[in-house]
Amino acid sequence: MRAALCLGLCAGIALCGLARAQDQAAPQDAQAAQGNGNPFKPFDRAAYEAHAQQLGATAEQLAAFGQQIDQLGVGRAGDNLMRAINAGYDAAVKLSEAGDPKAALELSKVLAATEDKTLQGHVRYHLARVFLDGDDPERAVTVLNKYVKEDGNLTPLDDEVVYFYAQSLAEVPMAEEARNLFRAFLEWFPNASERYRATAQQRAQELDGQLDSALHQLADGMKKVGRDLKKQETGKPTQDRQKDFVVKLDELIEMYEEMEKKGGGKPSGNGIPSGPANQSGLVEGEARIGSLEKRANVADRWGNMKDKDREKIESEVRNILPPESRKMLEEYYKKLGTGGNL
Amino acid sequence: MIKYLQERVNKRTKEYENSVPEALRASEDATAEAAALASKQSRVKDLTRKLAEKLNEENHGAEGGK
Repeated sequence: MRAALCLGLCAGIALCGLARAQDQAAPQDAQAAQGNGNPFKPFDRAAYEAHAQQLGATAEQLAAFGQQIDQLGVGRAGDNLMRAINAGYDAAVKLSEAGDPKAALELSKVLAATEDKTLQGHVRYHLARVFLDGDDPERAVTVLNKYVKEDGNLTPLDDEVVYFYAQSLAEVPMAEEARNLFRAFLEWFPNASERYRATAQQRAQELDGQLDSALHQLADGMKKVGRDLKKQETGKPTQDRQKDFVVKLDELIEMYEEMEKKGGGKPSGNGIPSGPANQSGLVEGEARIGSLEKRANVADRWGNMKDKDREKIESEVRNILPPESRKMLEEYYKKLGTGGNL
Repeated sequence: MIKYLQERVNKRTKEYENSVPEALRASEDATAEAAALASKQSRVKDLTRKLAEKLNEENHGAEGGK
């Protein structure tokens, strides 16, 4: 899983023109979209509306889309349009909004049933967020990689995809990559929701701190203890601080080993990972698009379900989904079953 | 290596605390030993600082090479 994730992540990061120069399978047309490494073009509303019409959007639905852009933002308006067009998609998104464990299955079924790249992009956005909410950032990254590769520039969700991609990386944790992608998000999407931009700015700064100052902070602490030792202050407070240095050094060693395994090269940055990213807590509201907070604990809900309901979902995963989605969801539900601690 | 050195300093700090009673702390030997202990802690600090700077240089070098 780790190796596969690394390949996917590396592809995504390289696609974004951010990180290591590696031989990646990034779509060349997307990379060439803009000169600053931004693979995303500004949202093409006319093309999106024309495509929605091909999918069956009515004049009323398109008018509602136009009205909602000003009120809700283009991402949520576009998603509402897709939900209005496709009842199955709407039902699956409602499950995800409710934190229902069945959401991943239903979204995957919609994904498997359509060949339309725009709808697939919308579905993948929600599926990634379901995985993220289920404390499964690795799988969220896998899905978002697929979005970037296949669905980018087709939906009004590109900015949110990059935001949640960065958020997923931070939760893996891959601090440096997450920091870079948050910065890219800020550069590439100046008109993104201010809530996302403010949180991205904050997260990038936090990650900066983790990456740049942990060792220096450790050295600062050692300097203070050195002074105390000279004053013969060798009691428990000093000994406890010294023990803490060893703990922090252990964490750093572990982080470097992990980074070397993932990146295959020297570690860059010298921070201690903070573990799962902080929750923004900035936004309230029912709608999922434009909302930054996690949903209710999906693992708890999964555990509270009746056995027969869980077995029904697992059976559908085994028997209905195509192999790629099947494997992903089997692992997802298995992880939910362990409380996310696999 | 830094971790190993820090563990050694920790061990010596504990030994000092347990073996040098308050009444003897003002002695020349006790103050000299405390100074030596502080020096060892300072050495670990210097190595940690150097490592931080080295990693930062490598990081910036890698970014510059992209």
